Amino acid sequence: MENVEKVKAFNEVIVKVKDELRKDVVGQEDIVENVIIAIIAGGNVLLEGVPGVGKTRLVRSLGRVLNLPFSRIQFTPDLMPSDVTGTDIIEKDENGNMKKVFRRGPIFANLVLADEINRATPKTQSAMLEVMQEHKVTVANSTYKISEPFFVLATENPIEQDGTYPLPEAQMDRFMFKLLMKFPGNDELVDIVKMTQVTMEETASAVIDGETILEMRSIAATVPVIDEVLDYAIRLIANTHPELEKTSETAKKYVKYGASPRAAQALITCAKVRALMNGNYNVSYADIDALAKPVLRHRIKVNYNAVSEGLGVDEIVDMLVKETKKASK
Amino acid sequence: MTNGFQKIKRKFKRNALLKCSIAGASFGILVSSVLVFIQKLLAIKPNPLVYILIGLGVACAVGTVTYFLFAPKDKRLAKRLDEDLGLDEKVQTMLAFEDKEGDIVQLQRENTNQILSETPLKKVKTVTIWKHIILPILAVAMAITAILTPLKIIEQSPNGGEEWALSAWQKARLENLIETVQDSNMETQPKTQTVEELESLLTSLQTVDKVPKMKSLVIATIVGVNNIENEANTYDEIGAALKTSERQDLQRLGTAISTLNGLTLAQELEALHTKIGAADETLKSEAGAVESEIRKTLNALNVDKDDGLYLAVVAWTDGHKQIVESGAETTAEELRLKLNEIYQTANLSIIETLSQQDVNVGVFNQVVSELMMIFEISSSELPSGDRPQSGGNAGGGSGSGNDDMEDKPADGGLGSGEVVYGSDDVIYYPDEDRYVSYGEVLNEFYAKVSGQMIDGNVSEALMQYISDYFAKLYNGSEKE
Repeated sequence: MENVEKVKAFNEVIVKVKDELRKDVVGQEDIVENVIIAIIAGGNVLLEGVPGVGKTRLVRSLGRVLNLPFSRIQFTPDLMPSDVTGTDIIEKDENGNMKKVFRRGPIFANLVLADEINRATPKTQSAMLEVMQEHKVTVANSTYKISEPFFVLATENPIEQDGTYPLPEAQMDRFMFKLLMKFPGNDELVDIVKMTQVTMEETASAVIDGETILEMRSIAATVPVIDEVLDYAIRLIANTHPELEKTSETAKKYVKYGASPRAAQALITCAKVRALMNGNYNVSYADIDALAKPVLRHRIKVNYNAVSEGLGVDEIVDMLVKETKKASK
Repeated sequence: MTNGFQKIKRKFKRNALLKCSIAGASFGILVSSVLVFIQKLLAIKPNPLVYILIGLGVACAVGTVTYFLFAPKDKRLAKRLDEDLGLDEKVQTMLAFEDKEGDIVQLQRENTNQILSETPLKKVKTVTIWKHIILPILAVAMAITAILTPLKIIEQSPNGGEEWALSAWQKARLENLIETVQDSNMETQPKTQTVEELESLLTSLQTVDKVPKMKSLVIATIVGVNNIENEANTYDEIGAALKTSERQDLQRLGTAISTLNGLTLAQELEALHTKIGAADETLKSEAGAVESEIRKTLNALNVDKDDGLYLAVVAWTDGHKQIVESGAETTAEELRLKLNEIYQTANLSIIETLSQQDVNVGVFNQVVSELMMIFEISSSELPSGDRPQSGGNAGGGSGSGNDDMEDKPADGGLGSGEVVYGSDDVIYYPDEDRYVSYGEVLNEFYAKVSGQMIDGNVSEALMQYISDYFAKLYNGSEKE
């Protein structure tokens, strides 16, 4: 009975979270929704956006609303792995004896903003991504667990690519979503300016906590998915692979490398969360379609044909969805 | 299964029943109508009961098959509802997980059921009228066409058919045929009627200018002639009636009559006569048994009671009755004399009337054959009951119209095997005042003639000719 009440309350909780976030973040509804989905689903997000669109503010507000410790790591080329994870240092205790103490790095938070991750060296990126994957830090044979829920929002600056180290495809796959944070519209910009003229401080207050997030995660996992929708999601992922015998024409023409099985897992897991967020108790085709771009845009590598025809990865994903839908009927 | 879904499913089931009823009825009517239409074009008269049964059968079969096609399958219905009502796979999920437990699954089920229960049935579209109205319209149109199509529509071809005119040869042959009939030994009334038919045909054909019209007139004449024959000749009905007897001797008698076999008839009459008169003590009882059995078979007979053959058979039966009713004072010799008298009379009258009917049959067959030959009418163009049949032989040579001829024409005269004799006809033999086969008296005739040839002044050539003639009749000829 208690679980049923919690299930029924799922949608209301999300609405509360969104309402609180709106106090600090203007517009960007899709980004906010997808970030919430990723947090509940237990994934990480790669956010691409020009400077000043509110990436840091979003994560900081999220930390306040979710009542979770937040940290920000600004990635630079000289950032070392130990700057992220932490390191052992020698300290004097009260008695004047030297002892080794592990000083935790900024990664030890529940919500982490990894700003401009593509500016760090591959070594530092690897250290970050390892923590993202395993939710633990290993330093000098000692392992330190990261407390749950653990969520990383990494950002990339689409401009100023000089001197950056683009994340390799294998690493990109570890992000559940890649979201594109666009420049706000006129009305939104007006609201932003008005709001920040009053105060730059975040005013959102806590609505839920980490334990609730974990409960919501376990509830979402039980949302039913019918075989037809599951097949549709699987077929969509399969259709991104040009090398397969039964694949889409779009993939054969425009795709170099397709999405990994992690994409299928991400699609279904997040679709379940999305369904509950919208007050539904089952996954639908619409949920899969809505999450196709965030899940696939960073997992598909387009070929020269697409580039020469001026087709971006989002257009390719739209074509894949259309072709898969047509084949399903 | 939830109430909301059940409610909608019932609506779809009713719709499926309606669709399959429409489909079944339409197909039933369509198939029956097409068959009736085709039969009418082929000039075959349709039997309404047959087509009703065919239509019902087709309707049931098609209805059953279409019901299984249209009957709502849960999965398909669920998909349809999700699409039509924009339910985002709620119904399909509810169906797929109906046996599963769990808080969310239960919530999902309840939520979906509530939505379906609150959905008015009108919102759930089922029948698309325009798709299902075409077939019934087609079926009704075909039915109307079939009903309104007249029988034998091919006779009225738009241009009237090929040109035709009565040729001189055809006219002459027809006139000759009329003369042949008039000169024949056919009974008076059927002869008059047949001549009238032929004369009417001759008159009509002189103004006909199309082949189809000509053929229809000739065929109508043939049908008319056959009807005259059926009324004039009773051997078939009388023979068939006698064949229903429990006595084998009467059955054989009936067979001889129905096959117009005079020789067998004479033999059977003689055998019966001998059997009745076998012993003085049993004469009356035997006569009575024969009399009652014949009356029993003739009771159900529906022929003209003035018919000659019928009267002859009845007279023969009445004769036996007189023997049965004779008093105790009548001696055995008197009874036997009476019996002989009855036999003699029957032998004459029955065979004579049967021969007359055989002559009728011969003339009728000749008329039909001639008409078919003169005007090039094939058997297949005639109605099935009017097509020419092979004949029997009362006197052994001319044909009759019955199919149940059980006895082959008997060999006449002397000899057997492959040897064929001149004639198997039954002739009247005045010396014995009865009808006998020609071969039986051939020897006697030959003896008389050859004796006179020897004694008389007859030329050598004539003697040789007569001698050859009788040699052929006497010894027979090898059949090639």
